[in-house]
This record gives sequence, C-alpha cells and structure tokens, in this order.
Amino acid sequence: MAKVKKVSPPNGTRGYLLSERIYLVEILKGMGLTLRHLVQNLVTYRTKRQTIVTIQYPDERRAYSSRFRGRHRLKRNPDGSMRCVACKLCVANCPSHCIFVEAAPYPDAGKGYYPKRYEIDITRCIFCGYCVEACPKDAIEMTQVSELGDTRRAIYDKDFLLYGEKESGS
Amino acid sequence: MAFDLDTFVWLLRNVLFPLAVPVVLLTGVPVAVWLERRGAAFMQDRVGPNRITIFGLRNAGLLQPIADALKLLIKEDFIPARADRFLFFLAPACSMIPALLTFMVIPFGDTLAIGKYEIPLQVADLNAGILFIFAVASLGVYGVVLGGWSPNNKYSLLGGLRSSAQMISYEISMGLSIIGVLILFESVRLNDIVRGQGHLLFGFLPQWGIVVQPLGFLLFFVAALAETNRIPFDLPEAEAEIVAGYHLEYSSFKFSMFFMAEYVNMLVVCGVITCLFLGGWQIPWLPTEDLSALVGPLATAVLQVGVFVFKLWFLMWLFVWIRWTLPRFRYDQLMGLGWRVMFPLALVNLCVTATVPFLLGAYEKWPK
Repeated sequence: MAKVKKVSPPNGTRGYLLSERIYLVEILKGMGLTLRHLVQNLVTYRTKRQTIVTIQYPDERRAYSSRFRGRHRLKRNPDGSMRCVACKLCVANCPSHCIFVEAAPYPDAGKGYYPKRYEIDITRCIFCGYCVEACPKDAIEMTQVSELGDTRRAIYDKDFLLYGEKESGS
Repeated sequence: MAFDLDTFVWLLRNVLFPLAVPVVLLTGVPVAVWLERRGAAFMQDRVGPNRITIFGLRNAGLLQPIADALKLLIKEDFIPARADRFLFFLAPACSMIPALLTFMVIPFGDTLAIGKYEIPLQVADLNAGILFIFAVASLGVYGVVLGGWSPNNKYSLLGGLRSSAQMISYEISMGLSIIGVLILFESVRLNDIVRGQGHLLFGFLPQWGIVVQPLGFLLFFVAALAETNRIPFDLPEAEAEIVAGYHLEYSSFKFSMFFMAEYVNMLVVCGVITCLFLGGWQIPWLPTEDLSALVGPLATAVLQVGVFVFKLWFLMWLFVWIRWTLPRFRYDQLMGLGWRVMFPLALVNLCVTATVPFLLGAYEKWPK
C-alpha cells in the first residue's frame, strides 16, 4: 500500500479535531441530517407544507412562461379563412429551412393567395420563433405545447397546424 | 401411511421449513429494495418510485421491485464473446446459494413446545452454527471472483479484485469481533447465544450482545457493511470508476441473481447481528416461560418471530440509512481502516473480553 502523505491544513484553517478524525461523531451528525429530511418529508408528504420538491410530471406540470415557444399553429381569420397569404417570408427567415410553402391563388379573382401546402419539418425546427417574427399577417404563432413525441408525424401539414385552437397559449 | 400429527410435525420440520425459509427470504428482497429506494428518495427530498399500480391501487410503489424483476427476466441474456462460458454461468449461482444457505441456521424463535412436540423455529440447529455461517458466507467470495474473471472485461476484473481483497480483509476483523460474544455466551450454537441473551444484567439490563460487547458490535457492524459491499464500502461496484464492478457484463436473469444475492446477504447479515448482538428473538424482560404462561405457546412463538423480524428490519433500515448518508471510501482508506483500525481494535476487544471473565472468576475463587 502506498504511504499516505500527511497533508497539513491550508493557511487560515484549523486542522481536524479528534472527534472528527474518529469519524463516528460526524457520521452520527450526518445520519441525523438525513433522518431529519426523511421525517420532515414523511410528515409533510401530500400536505400543503410539502417539502418534497419533485414535480410528478404527467400529473403535475411546471408552469411555462407565456413567451414559451412550443409547437406552431396557423391562425384563422374571424370568418374561418386562413390568415396566411403565402408570402413565404417565414420560409426565407427560417434558419433551419424547415418550412415549405406552396402558394395558390384563391378561385375568386382579386382575393389574393393562400398556401396550398404549408409544411413544417418539426425534426429540423429549432423553435427560434423567427417565422412568427417575420410574418406580416400575424398568421403563425407558437403555442405552449411542448410534448411533441409521436410515432408517425414528423412533418406537420397545414391541417395539423390549423388544428389545435384550444391548445393555444395566447 | 396414515396422515397423523406425527407426520405433520415431521413434514413441518423437514420439508416446510427448508422450503419456506428461502422463499420468505427472497420475498424480503423486493421489500428491501422498496425500503431502499423510497427511503433514499425521502431523504433526498424526492418521491421515489410510486407509479406501479395493481387494480388501480398505487400501493406506494411496493410492486416496483417486482416489475423490475419481471423486466429483467424477459431481457436478453447476453454472454460476451470471449467469456469463459462455464464460469460465467457458475458465478451467479456461487453468490446466490451461499446467501440462501447461511440463513438456514439462524433461529427466528424459541423452541415451540405444543403437547409432546417440540418444534425448533429454525431450519437446522447446528452445534457449530456461527462457524457454519462464516464458512458458507466466505464461499460467496467465489461468486464475486468468478463473476469478475469470467467475462474477460477489465472493469469486471478490477471490481472482482477489489471486492475479493475487501471481503477477505474485513472477514478477519469480522471473525475476531464475534469471538468476544462467543467467549461470554460460551457457545457457538446460535440458539444458545440467543438464550444467553435472555438473562438480565444487574437485574434490569437485558444481557444483549450490544450491551456486553459494544465495541464488538460496532466492529462487526462495520465489517458487515464491508462484507455486503454496502456504502461506504461499495468500491466493488463504484459506478463512477469501474462502471458496475464484477457484475458489469451480466444481464437478465444472471444479473438479477447477483442483485438478489446482494440483498439476501444483507438480510442474512442483519439476522446474524440480531442473533449475536440484539438478543435474537428475545423480548426484553419477557422470557419464553413467562410469556408462554401469559398468552400460550403459539402466540409466544408468533410474538418472538415478530420481534426477530422487527429487529432484523431495523438493522436493514440502518444499512439503508447509512448508505444514503455517507460517501464512498477511497481504496487506500478502505484498506487502512480494515487493517490498521479494525484489526487492532478487534484484537484489543478480544484480549479484554478474554481477560475480564477470567479475572472475575479468579476473584470469586479467591479465598476470603
């Protein structure tokens, strides 16, 4: 066994007392600390004074900031038509090139354009929110939805992005 | 053969006990795991596993260990390519079997006398009980050594080496620390030791091992922590340094064997400490005869087994409590403590314990 060098305490600090060097007293102090936490947590468990800090996730949720950038949502006009006019500014601004928009004119002449296809590849999206900032029509927003786990849908199409009015945070 | 009472008692002693004790012991493992995980969580201001439900009942996560065990059993049983396959198979059995065997000689109640029958509440009342425990428990090292050697993995090997060095070092202080108890109770039969602890010291203090051998108890307890590879002596598993130690390459059923052996070992060690130092099944101030006269023999047996189980689980809780309080020793600290502190202290304890009864005896024989 290697010889252990005696290390003198750094300047300004005292060395270890005998009671500290024989461990036992300090161990009992430490056990007192853990026991205090245990008893406190047991007594206050599921009461208003609960000292356990766990947020039991699917049942309890942490409140997100109102500016939280979650899943996108395409907004509608009061009459139900899409606000998006397919100007593609969001496409131009997207740093990860995850938005695809195909524009088409409305059947009625003079009513402008609408997105025939509006798709977001959510696997590439970095949730920067530049699309929201770029939109001149305030047609896209980011909701509070953060649970995007899915086994099928990686590319969000127009129908899916229009859906979910109730999930909006604003 | 007619099924009479004789046959029933015979069956009880020779078939039911040897079968039931390991089963009960293994049932204790999930409870111990539950105690550990929930206890740890509450000490750390967490909640711990509480998601498993059965028929919609939350049951405070009690079934989590069972779910874990089922998960382990249906996992792939992986054997490393260059492993020594025979030893790889042998190692988990080598740690499991001694763990279960050692509990066979631990008495969990006084001899139950009903009518003409005397049923010892113990699987085997060996006259060398404590020696048997030590002999068989030492075999458990083979499981660790083989488990570390056979998978041909450097981390496993390191873990196995550390573990065997540690277990062999602390076995010495462990063995020495109980000799005091053996001297005082003048027997190596566990039942005799437990009976000896039923007497009162100075007329009011139960003559438990912890009262007459406080240093011996401390040394044995620390050595027991080291023997069962518990924190602060869990270097064999040191997750941060050698990943998981000797059972690193094990998966599925074989891993669960190692895991269960670890907890069974803890239960056994707690049982041994209970027998040697905490009076076994003795209820303080209530010897078996008085209790029998009071509530009858059967209730006495039940009470005594209950007290034994309570003491055992209190020690188990102490193990858990210590685990979630202390950090891990460094390897040289571990060896230093084992050889330079525990070993001399055990020797001093042995010398003092051997001398004092001798002097007392000489004093009584002194012509006055």
